[in-house]
Amino acid sequence: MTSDLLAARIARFIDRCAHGAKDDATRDALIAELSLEQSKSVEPYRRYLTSEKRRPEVFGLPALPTDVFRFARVASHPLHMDVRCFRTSGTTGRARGEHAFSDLSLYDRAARSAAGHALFPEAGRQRLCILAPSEHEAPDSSLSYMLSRFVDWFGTEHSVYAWRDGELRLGVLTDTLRAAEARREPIALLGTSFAFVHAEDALGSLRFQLPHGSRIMQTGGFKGRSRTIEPESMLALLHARYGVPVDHIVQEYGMTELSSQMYEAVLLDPAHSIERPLWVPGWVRAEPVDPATLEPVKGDATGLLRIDDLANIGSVCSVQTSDLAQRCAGGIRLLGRAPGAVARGCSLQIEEWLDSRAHAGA
Amino acid sequence: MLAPEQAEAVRAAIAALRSAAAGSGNDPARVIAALQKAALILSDAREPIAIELRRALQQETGLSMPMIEWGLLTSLSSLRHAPLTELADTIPRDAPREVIGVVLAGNVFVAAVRGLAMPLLTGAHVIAKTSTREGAFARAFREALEQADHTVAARLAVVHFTREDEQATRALCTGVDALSVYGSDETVEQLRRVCEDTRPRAALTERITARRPPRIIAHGHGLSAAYVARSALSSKEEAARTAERVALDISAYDQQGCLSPHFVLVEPGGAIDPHAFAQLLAAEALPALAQLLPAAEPTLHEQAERLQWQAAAAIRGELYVHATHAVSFEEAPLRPSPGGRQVSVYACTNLQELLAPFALHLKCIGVAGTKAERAAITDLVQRFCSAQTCRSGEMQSPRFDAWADGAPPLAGLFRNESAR
Repeated sequence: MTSDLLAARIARFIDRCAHGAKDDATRDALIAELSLEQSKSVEPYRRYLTSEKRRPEVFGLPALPTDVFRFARVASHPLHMDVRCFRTSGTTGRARGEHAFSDLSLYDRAARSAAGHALFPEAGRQRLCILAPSEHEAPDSSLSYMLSRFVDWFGTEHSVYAWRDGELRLGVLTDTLRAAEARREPIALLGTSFAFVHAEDALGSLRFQLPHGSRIMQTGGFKGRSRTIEPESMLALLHARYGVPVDHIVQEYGMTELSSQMYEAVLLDPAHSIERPLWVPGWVRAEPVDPATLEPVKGDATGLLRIDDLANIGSVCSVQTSDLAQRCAGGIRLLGRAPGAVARGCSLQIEEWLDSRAHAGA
Repeated sequence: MLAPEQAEAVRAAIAALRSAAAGSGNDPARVIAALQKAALILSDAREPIAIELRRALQQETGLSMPMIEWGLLTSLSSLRHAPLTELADTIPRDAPREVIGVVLAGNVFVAAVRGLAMPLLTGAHVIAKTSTREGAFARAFREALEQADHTVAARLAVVHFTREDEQATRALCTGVDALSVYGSDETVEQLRRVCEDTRPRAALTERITARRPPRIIAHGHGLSAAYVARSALSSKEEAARTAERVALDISAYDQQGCLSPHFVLVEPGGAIDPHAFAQLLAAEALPALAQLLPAAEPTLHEQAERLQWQAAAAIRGELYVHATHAVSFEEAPLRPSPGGRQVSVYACTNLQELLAPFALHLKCIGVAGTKAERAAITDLVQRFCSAQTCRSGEMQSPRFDAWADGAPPLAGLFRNESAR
């Protein structure tokens, strides 16, 4: 297990970065220290490093590909010390990735700091309307856990869940939004992309003009749970449906395998509402890497997103995703799946089988 | 997204085919002769159509030229007289002349040989919709048919539109009598929905005679496996020969097809054990194949998938990575491959138990072993899935008249009026 001393230093560092501060040198030193410890204490990582001979100069150690979370317990603590285990969403025929925690305090600290800066930068609480299951309904969903904490940290006592028992509660949604309009009280509408699509389909001709200061946070993909909508179209739909300006519609990027989240930087700087880069918290290093060398790509070339998350203290902090990304002003531009990655005709769509990107959702 | 001109082109093509179908007779001998002549034209690398086809295939598929050449050779040579004639003889003389839509996939270009030739053989007129990724083969096949026999070529129209083009999709689904769909299960389902959804409306609004909804002949998701019986590993020399055949099945089309093995299941008890067979594949057989049939350059997306697959392999078992391929030796449960010559080897004492989770999608099992062992495996496989079996080394070059998706080759492609 990671030493208490290192954990305390990381916690302090996260606090230092809470308001958007950066100190890359300290961050990188902490990442190197934590990774080295985990390379000895986390068995699948140790085993992976034995097989993977490449040692990227910039990072020192290669990151652990996310798929490993589906096939092995990636934890530095024994099973009996688990206080929570988050699981990736399940698609047909594939094992679900698992991320076990013996302590959620650093997760909470990171989630609160990131959201406090990039999603709720203004002081004060808002009513939250959540289009995702509560943590009681989905105890193994990291998204549900995070949203429940958001209610504690940023929500008013009138916050509601408009997604229950696996379906949209249209009455709850419309009543809540109409009440916000009537009271001119800003509201935060938070949920999964597919839940927003269900709402879009169910709301018909209903339109809202949510009060100034309202915001929308959407996350995750569609995973066959709804029709798929391109990000630009989704943005336009949400704006048209709820009357929230596009610089107050924020995409969250989170993964079950991580403890920190990234957000589109639109609330930090409205100038970012065109390019919509992902803001990277100070305790996280996000770099597109060349899959052949595992080194960072040059300039704004496209690479596979590697994320080093200091809050991932009980598993591995260096995680290799399959998401394509570029560096850009303000952070990282996420490109999703490669445009050339066409369906393999009659061959199984392995993308689905191997996909382990986003939060568990519902 | 919507392109009315595409939909109009589809409607016009179907109308022309239907008009030609009404006046055509059943002349399978002429169709067979034209198919064979077209195959010869495309096989001859000096023919302008064939030269252009090879150039286009390289650009569209990214496959290496030797791989494309091998694919063309093995698939076009399957259009032999005997199987074509035997199949044609099974078609009733009074089968109505229909218009059949064929939706082609983009993964393995040679699938279009069978996809187009089968319905033409039944006497149908065919409208083929190519995939966004690859359309060169169907276009060249149409051109070669034109050169071979103008009348037979007039029975085939080749169109392209994207899957998002709802109007063109609807035009195709409402215009044909049957739709043979190669692609993902999602594609099959999408088209099935369109067929069911649009038929009544089309009948009302376009004042056409309401026909039955088109029959869907689905060739959806699929994957395959290789099985190595211990007799195929009776000596080190025999094991090397077996590994060569398995390596060909893996390497063909860079493992992108539904007939590509995702797993190699090895019966213990031979001269080398399953783990040693994995090493043999990785160190000798696959590198040799990579010399003969070089692998395509992987895209970033493919590299991402391989990185993930290999990492899981490394923690599940032993992994042998080379520049052109990777082989793992793992324990059950089986894990599908991302393709691109990445394959897992498993010790196998109970084939059915291992493959059962994939039964719904299994297309083929290539068997290395004696004829009796192959027969026994065929018997066993038939008990739990509709996969075909074949000899190892022949998974990617099936006979033209082989069954597919658990059905005879012409299933669904014609209506048997006499039987009704």
